[in-house]
Order: sequence, then structure tokens, then C-alpha cells
Amino acid sequence: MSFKVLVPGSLKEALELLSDRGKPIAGGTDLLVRIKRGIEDPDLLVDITKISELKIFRRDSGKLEIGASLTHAELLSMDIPPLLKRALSLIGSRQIRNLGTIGGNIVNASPAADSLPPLYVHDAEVRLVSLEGERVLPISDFIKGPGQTDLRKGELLLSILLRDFPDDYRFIYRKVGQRSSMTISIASIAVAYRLDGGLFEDIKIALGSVAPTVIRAYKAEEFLKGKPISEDILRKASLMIEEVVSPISDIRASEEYRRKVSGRLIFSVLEEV
Amino acid sequence: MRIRFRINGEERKVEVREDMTLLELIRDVLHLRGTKSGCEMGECGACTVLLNGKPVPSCITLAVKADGAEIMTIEGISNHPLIDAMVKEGAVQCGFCSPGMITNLVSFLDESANPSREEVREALSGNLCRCTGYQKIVDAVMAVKGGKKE
Repeated sequence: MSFKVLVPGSLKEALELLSDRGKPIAGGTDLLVRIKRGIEDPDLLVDITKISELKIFRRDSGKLEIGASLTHAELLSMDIPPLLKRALSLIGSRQIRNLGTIGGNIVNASPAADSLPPLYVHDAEVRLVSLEGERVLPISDFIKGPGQTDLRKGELLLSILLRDFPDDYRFIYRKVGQRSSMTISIASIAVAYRLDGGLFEDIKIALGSVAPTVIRAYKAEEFLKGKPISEDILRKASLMIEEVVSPISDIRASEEYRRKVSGRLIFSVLEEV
Repeated sequence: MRIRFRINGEERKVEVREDMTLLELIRDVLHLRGTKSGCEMGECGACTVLLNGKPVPSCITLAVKADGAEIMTIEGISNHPLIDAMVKEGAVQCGFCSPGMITNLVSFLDESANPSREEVREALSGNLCRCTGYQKIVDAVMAVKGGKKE
């Protein structure tokens, strides 16, 4: 572990450093652990936490833009969508939430990242910048696999764009872990739905920790639309969820447990009614 | 890199290696040994200090982040009712986790004047204790809450 650190005050300066040889660091809650374990050995870290563009927080023409270097604790004190608020409150510990950033949680691309299921439900987009220019991608295209993203050399995640759901939507976020706090999720679900006369008028379902990336359960969503909110219907939807997941066994849980639990999680909608 | 910061109210200017952690700066350069080195991975909370009033694991915080900041370590928190409450409730056994616990809890009590036991336990989720089992630590927080402004 031996590296230099530069702390650019402007975005342009940061992008110049990153296009050359620097690796961005924000909270460092994952990166510094990887460096200490010898998994990564960068020679130049570019601290991106002093750049004002990465602290943007604004609602503009129906879209919320969230700067990538806002910490989980900072976002928890802001007016953010309820699903995201719930998920961020379950990340790590108080200490970790004070350091870790939403951009870091995304770029790490862990299938267990707590912020991702809500962002998938919101069909969030990521805004990426480099010296060459800017591009905006759906988050589901940006994240390619465990720890893998479409981030190009010299590119920086600037912000996350999403739309608030209308006021009559209801939300569920559930995280199954070995304990209730400071835990890596075994399976998680984020749901946004709207009921109309006891029927699902709209529903979006995202699942975490049960596939190489966070996934949407599109088949279950389509099936549920127009159907009543009942145990029988949810049982059918849960089987569709079990089919779409592709979990692994690891030290936290077995593949079979994750599959069963991810199906069961959809029943959480009954508790919210 | 030359950095400037305030620690426990005292202004300091120090030359640091850029790959040094805040924990190394505090223990090895400033010789403040109340802050402990535990897991070195940001999970056990023994190294918790307040950076601009917020608890952070100093073992995974770069020392350069202290530049221009205000740092508080356990040495700067000698006169808090929580410390008396922890002694009274028997919330200290080997004492290794106590500086990190107290540093985190002091800031928590500033933010939440009247927390429930459940909220206290959540606030402690990033501080591991292998001796007392948390019960007495939570008891100490519950004993001090509301009474801290006396």
C-alpha cells in the first residue's frame, strides 16, 4: 500500500487526472479495504469529494438529480424518494454512512448494494462525464456484472437521474440479512406499486443479491398488473420471481435459500396494505 | 502533503504521507493512543473519531481528509455524562471498544435527544464489543438521555 493522493477542486482538473492515470476515490469505504487487502494497488488516487458538481441535488422538470459524491448520511437528511431513503438507512453503520457515497455504492456494482434495488425500480439513469463529453445510460445498462460497469477509462460518474413516483404509489423495501443492521444483504426487494380498487394498476419489482446484478422481475410485474392483491395471486408471482433469479451459494446463504426467500419477499405487499 | 486541522480544539499543521490513514495520523504521528486499531477494515468501530462532528472509521479514512477539518477523539471528550453513566452501569470491561463507542454515542446523543433502545442498538451497529454484550452499554445511554443538558 503506497500511493499518492491529489484533491482537485474542479471537475475539469479531476477529469484530466483521471484520463491520465488516476483512480477516483470518494468515501473509500470499499476501495481502501481492497487496497489494504492487496486486491488493488493504485499509484494515484484522485479524491473527488471536493468537486461541487458531484454534490448536486436538484429537481428539474420532474427529474431528481443526485450528485455522485453525496454521502448516504447527507442524502438521508434530504428530500429523497422513500424507497431510496429506506435502503440508504440500512447501509452499513452510522460510521460507514458518513463516509460512503451513493456513487461509490453504484460504481462498486455489488449485487448486494443496498441503493441499487430502489434505483432499478425508479428506472434511474447515470450521468457519466469525461474530457470527451457526457453520456447518460439506464442504470441497468451501466451495471454489467458483479463489480463490473460500463465506466470507461477517464470517465467519472457525475450524478444519478430519477423521477419521483406520483403520491398514490406505495413502497416496500425489505432486506434479509444475518442481522438487522451492519449486514450484507442475503436477498432484498424493492417494490413500487399503485392499487386501483384492490387491483394492481402498476407495479415495479427489483431484487438484490440473487443474481449477478440487481434485476427487475418484469414477468411478475406484467402478471400482477390488473390482478387483485391476494395471497393466491402473489403465490403465482412469487414462483415467477423464483424463476427469474439466479442466486449463488456463499458464506451468507445457500442458493436454494436465496431463491425461496426472494419469492417470499413479494408477500411483503400484504403487510403494507 | 502538508495538512492543517484542529484536533480536540487544538490547531495543528502536520506533514503526512498521502497513503497514511487518519488512524495512523492520530496514533503514530500525534501520539493520541485512546483511539484503537481493531479490524482495520471499517467494521469494528474501535477507531471511530469525529470528523467535522460526524463519526467515521479512521482506519479507512485517509489522513489527507483531515485537511481543513475539525477532529475530535476520545481525548477531547473527557467531560461527558455518558462516561459517568458507563462506569455506573458497568458498561466497560476490557475497555478496548469504549473509546470508539463513546465517540460514536456522544455524536448520536447530540442528534437524537430521546432515542429508543432499538435506535441506540442501531446506532451501535458499527461498534463491536466482545465482553459485555451491549446490554449495559445500551443501559448507560438510556440512563444519560434527557439528562445530558443538566
